[in-house]
Amino acid sequence: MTRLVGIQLLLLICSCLGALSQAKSFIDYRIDNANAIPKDVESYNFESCEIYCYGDLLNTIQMAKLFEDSKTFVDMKLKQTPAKTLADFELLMEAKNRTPSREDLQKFVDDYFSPKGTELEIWTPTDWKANPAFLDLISDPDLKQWGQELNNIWKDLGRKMNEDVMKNPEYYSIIPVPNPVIIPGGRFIEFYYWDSYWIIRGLLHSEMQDTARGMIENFMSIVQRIGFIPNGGRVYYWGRSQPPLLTGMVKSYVDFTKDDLFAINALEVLEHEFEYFVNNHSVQVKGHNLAVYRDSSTGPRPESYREDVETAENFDTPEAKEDHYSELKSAAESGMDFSSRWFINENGTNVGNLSHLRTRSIVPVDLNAILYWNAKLIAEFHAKAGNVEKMTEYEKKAQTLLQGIQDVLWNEEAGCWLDYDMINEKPRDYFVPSNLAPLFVKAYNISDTEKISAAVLSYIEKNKLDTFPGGVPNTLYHTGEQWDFPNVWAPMQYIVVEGLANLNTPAAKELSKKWALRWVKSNFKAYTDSFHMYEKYNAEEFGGHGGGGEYGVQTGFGWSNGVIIEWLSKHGRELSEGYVGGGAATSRLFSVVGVAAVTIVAVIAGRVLW
Amino acid sequence: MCLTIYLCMLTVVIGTSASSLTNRLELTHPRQALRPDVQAHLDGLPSEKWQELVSSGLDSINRQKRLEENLLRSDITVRNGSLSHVQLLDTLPNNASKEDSEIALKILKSSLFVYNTQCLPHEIEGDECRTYLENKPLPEGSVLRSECLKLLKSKRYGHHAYRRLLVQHYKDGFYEIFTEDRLPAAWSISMGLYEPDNIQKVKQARDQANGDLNLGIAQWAQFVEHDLSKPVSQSMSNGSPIECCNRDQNKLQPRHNHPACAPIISQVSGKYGRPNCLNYVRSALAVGPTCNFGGAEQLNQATAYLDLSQLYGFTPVAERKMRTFVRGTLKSTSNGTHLNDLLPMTADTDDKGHSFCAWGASANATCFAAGDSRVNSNPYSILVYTIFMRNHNRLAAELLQRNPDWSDEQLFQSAKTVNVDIYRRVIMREWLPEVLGSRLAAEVLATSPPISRQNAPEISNEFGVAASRFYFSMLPNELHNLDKNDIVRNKVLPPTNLFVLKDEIFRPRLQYTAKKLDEILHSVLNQRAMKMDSSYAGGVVWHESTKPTHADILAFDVQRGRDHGLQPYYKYLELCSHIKQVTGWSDFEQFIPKNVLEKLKNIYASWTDVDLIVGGIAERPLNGTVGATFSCILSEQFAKVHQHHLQEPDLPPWAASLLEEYRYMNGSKLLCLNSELRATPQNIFQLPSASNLLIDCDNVV
Repeated sequence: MTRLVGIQLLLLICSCLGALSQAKSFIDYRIDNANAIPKDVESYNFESCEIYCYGDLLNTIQMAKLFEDSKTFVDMKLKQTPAKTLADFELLMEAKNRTPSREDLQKFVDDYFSPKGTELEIWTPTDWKANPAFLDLISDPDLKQWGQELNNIWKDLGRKMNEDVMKNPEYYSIIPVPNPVIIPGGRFIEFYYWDSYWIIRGLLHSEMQDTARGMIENFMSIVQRIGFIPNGGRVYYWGRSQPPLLTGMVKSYVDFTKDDLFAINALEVLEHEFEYFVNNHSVQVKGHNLAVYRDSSTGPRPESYREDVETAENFDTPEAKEDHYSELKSAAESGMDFSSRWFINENGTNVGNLSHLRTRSIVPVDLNAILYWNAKLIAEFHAKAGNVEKMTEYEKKAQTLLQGIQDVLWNEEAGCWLDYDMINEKPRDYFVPSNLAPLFVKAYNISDTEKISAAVLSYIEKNKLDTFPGGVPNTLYHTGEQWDFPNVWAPMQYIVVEGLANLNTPAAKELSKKWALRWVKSNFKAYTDSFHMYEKYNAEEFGGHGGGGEYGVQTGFGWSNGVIIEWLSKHGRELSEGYVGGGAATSRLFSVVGVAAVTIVAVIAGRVLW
Repeated sequence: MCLTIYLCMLTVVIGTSASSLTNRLELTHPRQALRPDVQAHLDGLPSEKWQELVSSGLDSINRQKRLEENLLRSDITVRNGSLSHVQLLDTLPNNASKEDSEIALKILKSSLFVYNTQCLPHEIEGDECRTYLENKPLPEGSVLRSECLKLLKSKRYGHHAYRRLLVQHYKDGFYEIFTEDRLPAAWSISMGLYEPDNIQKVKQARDQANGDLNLGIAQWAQFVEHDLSKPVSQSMSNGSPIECCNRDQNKLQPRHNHPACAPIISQVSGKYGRPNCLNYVRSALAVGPTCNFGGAEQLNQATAYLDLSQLYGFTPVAERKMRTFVRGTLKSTSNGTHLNDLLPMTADTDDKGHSFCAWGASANATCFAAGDSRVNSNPYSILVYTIFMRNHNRLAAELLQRNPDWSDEQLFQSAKTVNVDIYRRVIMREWLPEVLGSRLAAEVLATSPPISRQNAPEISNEFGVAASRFYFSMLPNELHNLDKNDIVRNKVLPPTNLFVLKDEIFRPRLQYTAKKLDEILHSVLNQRAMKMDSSYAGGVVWHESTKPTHADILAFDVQRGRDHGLQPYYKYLELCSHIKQVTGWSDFEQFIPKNVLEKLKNIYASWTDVDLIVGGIAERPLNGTVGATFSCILSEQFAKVHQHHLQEPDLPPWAASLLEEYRYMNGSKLLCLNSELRATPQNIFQLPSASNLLIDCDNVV
C-alpha cells in the first residue's frame, strides 16, 4: 500500500474545476433518485485533463481530423506542460484569426506532441511460464499448440509504465498505475476495466498470479485515488466507468490462489467502489432501486470526438447535444458501445441509429446482476473475515437487488430477463446475451432452477440462437454498430455459456458445452487462417471476424485469449476432432501452420529479392 | 488434407489443359472431384436441416434491411454528380436485374450457411463444399425454390449469369474476395504500372512503326463490350444505390459499410495522410441455369449476341422508350436532315437524366439517351451510338419510300434487322480481324453451327470483365483536332484538342452538333491508337496521392476481376497456351515483354497472384491487337457469338432478300452514309495510307 501513496503524491493538484462543476450540474439534472449522491469530482485531479478531456485545443485538433483514428491524438505525449501548451495554442489561434489551417495544426501537433504509445514499454511478464499446466489438459495436439501460442501472446500484450510517467504524469493522458498490465491489443494500448476480468482469468489459468494481482492492485489504487474505475487507463475517460467487475476479479484471484487474506484486505476498496457505483447510477423503477449506466462528464468522447460531434448534428440545441454526448458515453460505460440495445425511438422500439441512444433510460439486466454479484461477494469476503455485521449488511443489499431484478427485469412471458425501458415503462423484448447475465452470477432463486432452465432454453430456441456457426450474436439486429448482429464477443459468449452451465440441468449443461466447443473451434479456425485473435467475431461465419462500428476490427486480443485459454483448460479433454462429429476430419494445425509459414517466408523472400 | 486437395486439383487442371488443345475455340474446364465421405456426410443431412439452413440465409438477408435503413438515414448513398455516380452509370442495374440478384443472393447466403455450419466445422473446404452444393437442389416446397423457379420460367430479357471458363476463385470458395492480406491492393497495381504521360508519348512516337490502327479500334471495342457485357452493381433492397466511400473520397466509418462494399483504397502516405477511396460495389448476382445451391455467379445485363441492344434497349420496355412509333424511326434530336440528327436527350425518354449522366443539379446539361446507360461514357461512344441511330432512321426512310404501305412496326423491325446485320458484318469481318489477326478471325467465322439446339451459351465472365476491356490502354488523354488536309503526310501533331477524355466521361460537356461529331469522327479515323499495353493514360487512372477527381479504370477492373472470382492469369495461360503447367515467372517470358515482367515482379509477391486483366494487358500483341491469352478468351467468345447468330431462326424470305440487298454495306460506307465526311478509309480501323486508301463518300449511295 505504500507504493500507492507514492503514486498519489506524484499527482498534481489540478484545475479541472470549471468543467467539472458543469458536469456536476448536469448529473443533477438526470438523477431522479433521492438516494443518489453526486460523484466526488474534485478528486479527479489529473492536470493533463486540460489537454485531453475537453477544451478549445482538443476541439480544434480533433475537428481538423488530422488522424484517421481520433484516438491517436489523445494518446500522444506532451512536449511542454499543459499550461504552456495551452498558452502557445492560444497564441497560434490569435495569430491565425482563430481559423488555423490544417497545416498550421499539423505543425502545432508536431511541435508540441510526441508520438503515441511511448508511455508504455513492452514488458515481458516476470511470472510468465512456458508450459503452464493447463496445456496438459488439452488432448488434441493442434489445440494444444494453439494454447501454447495463446500463452505466448501474453508476452506481446504486457506493458509497463515508463519511469517518466511517474515523474511527470501531467505530460501524458495515461493514468499512472504502480504495476505492469496486460492490454487488450490493437488500438487499445492501455488497460481497460471490464476487459481485465477475462484477461485476469486467462492469466490465472496461465499461472501468472503476480501479473493478475498487480492488475487488481492497480484498479484498487485508482479507486483509492478517484473513487471509481474509469472505462480505461486514460484521463479522458473521466466520467465513465465500465461494468463493475473488480470484485469479480478479486474473487477469481482468490479462487485460484486460496489467498483469502487478499480478499479481506481488499474489502474496504471493494465496498467503496460498490457504494460509489450504486450511488452514481441509481434509479427508481416500480418501487425498486436499480442501476443504469450513466456518465458524468461533459462534451463529446475525446477519443472519438469528431464522430460524436457529427452524430450530435442531429440535435439543435446545446442542451440536446450535451444530452446526446451523455447517452453516447453512458453506452460506452456499458461496454457495449454501440448497440441497438440502447436505442429507443419515438415508437418505443429499438429501430434507429445513434441519435436514438437512450442508455440512461434503460435498466440493464447485466449491470444489476453484476451489482448483485458484487454485494454477494463482498458479503462472502466479510464472512471469511468474520465480520458478521458487514456480511449481513451486504447480504441484505444483495437481496434487495435480487428482488428488484425479479420484479422489474424477469419477464415471465419471454421466459427470460429483459432490459427495462423507463421512458415507455415496458420491458425491451430484444435478445442480448446480457439478458442471461443473472444465470452467470446466480441472481435468481436456486429453488426456481428447473423452471428457469426450461424457460431460458425455450427463449433460446425461439430466438434461433443455436443456428449460428460463429457463436451467439450480440443482438439480432444488423444496424452497423459493433455490438449488434452479426458480431459476437468473447465476454458475452462467456457469460452465456457459463451461465447455462451454472443452471446445471442436463439440457442447459449440454447446450453450454456445445456452445463452448463451437466457440473454441470457430476461434481456432480464424486463428489458423490469419494467426490473429480478434476483438470480435462473426456469428454467421465459422472462423470469421467481426466488423462495423467506428473503427476497424482489432487483433490481440485480451479477452478473446482469456476466454479461449479458460475453455481449453476446462474442455481440453473433450475437444477432440470427434466430438462435434465430422466425418472427414483429419487435418492438423501443423500442416495449416506449415503451409502458411512457407507462404509467408516466400512472400518475405519475394519482397526482399526485388 | 489441404495438400491433397491441392494436388488433386492440380492433376485435374493438368489433365484437361492437355486435352483442350484439340480445339482452341472450345475450352473445357476442370471439375473439382468430390470425396465419397464428403458426399456421404452432406447427403446424410435431413431435409428439415436444409430447410433450416435456407431460412437462416433468408433471415440474414432480411436483417440487412435494418442496416440499409440506417445508411439511407445517414445519407450514405450515391450522390448525383459524384465520382460514384459516374461509376454507377457504368454498371447501372435495371429492376429485373435487381430482382434476379436478390434471389441469387438469398441462394448464396443459404449456401454460405451450409458451408459455415456443415462444411467448415467438418473440415470440408470451400471448393469441395461448393461442388457438392452445385448439384444440390434447393429444398422442395421452400419459398426460395419457388421464387427461383418462377424466375427461370420467365423471359429473362437481358439478365443472365455469366458463364465461367474456370471455376470460381474465392477465399471461401463461394464469394469472399481475396484482399490485401493475400494480394496487392487493386490501386497499388494500377499505380505500379503507371507511366507518366510524357514517357508514354515518347514511347508512342517510337512505336509508330508497330501498327497503323486508329482510335476506331478502341471505340468499337467499347461499343461491342456495351452490346455483350454489362455487369451491374448490387443495390439496396429498396433499390437505392450503394456508396462505399465518404464525400471526401476517404473510407467510411465501418458502421456505414454495406456488406456489398469492396471499395478501392489507396496506400497512405505520411503521418497525416489518409487513404483515398473509390467506390466499388460488388456486382449483382444471377440465378444460374438451375435452382441449386452454389457459389456466386455474376449477372450480365446484356444479351449474348450482337444485336445492338445497347442502342435499342435490352428489354421490350426499354426499346419502346427509344421508338417514335412513327414511320419506324428511333427517337432523335432532329436538326433537319438525318445527317444532322443527334441522339435523343434524356428528357425525350422520360428520364430525369441521373441514369444517363453524372450531372449534379444542372438539369439543362446535355445528356443523351439510348438503350444503355453507358452511351455517355465518352464522345467516342456517343458518336458510334449516333451513327447507328442515324443508320436505322436512314434505312427506315428508304424502306418507307419503297413500301409506302408498311406500318410503323414493319418499318421499325425491318430497319432494325438490316441495321443489326450491317453492324454484325462490320464487327465480325472488319473489326475482329484487327483484334485477333485475320487467321484467327477466319477460324471464328468458320465455326460450324452447334449440333443440338441447346440453350445458347452465355457470355463468359472472363470475356465480360477482363478480355473485352483490353482497349482502355489504347485511349489517349486527348483527341486531337486533325486538320482534314494534313493528316498522315505531316506527322507533327496539331496543337488543338477536340476534347480531353477525363472531362467528358459521363458528363457530355462538348457543344454537340452534327459538325462536332463529324470532326470527332474524322479525328478518330486519323489519330493513331495507343498501343495495347499495361500503361494507361493519366486521364483514365489516378496515380496521385491527392483526392481523386476521376476514376482509376485499371484499379476498377482488377477489383472487379477479384469480385467476380476470376482465376489468376496463369491459370488462363495454362488453359489457352501450350504450356501445360506454369511453374514460375520465367514461363511468362515468352508472352510478356521483359520490362513489363519486371514491373509485375515488383508489384506481385508471386507469379500465381497476377490478375487476369493485368496479365492480359501485359502480354505482347500476337497477330492482332491483343496477346495470346486475351486472343484465346476473345476468340472463344466470338465463336460462341457467331454460333448463336447461325442458330437464330430463319428469316422469312422477304427479310432474307432484304438483307441480301444491303450486303454491299461495310464500315466505310456506313460512316459515309451517316456523316458528312467527304471520305473514309477503306478499312475504318486503320489510318489512311497507301495501302488503306480513302474512298470518296460522294460515290457511296
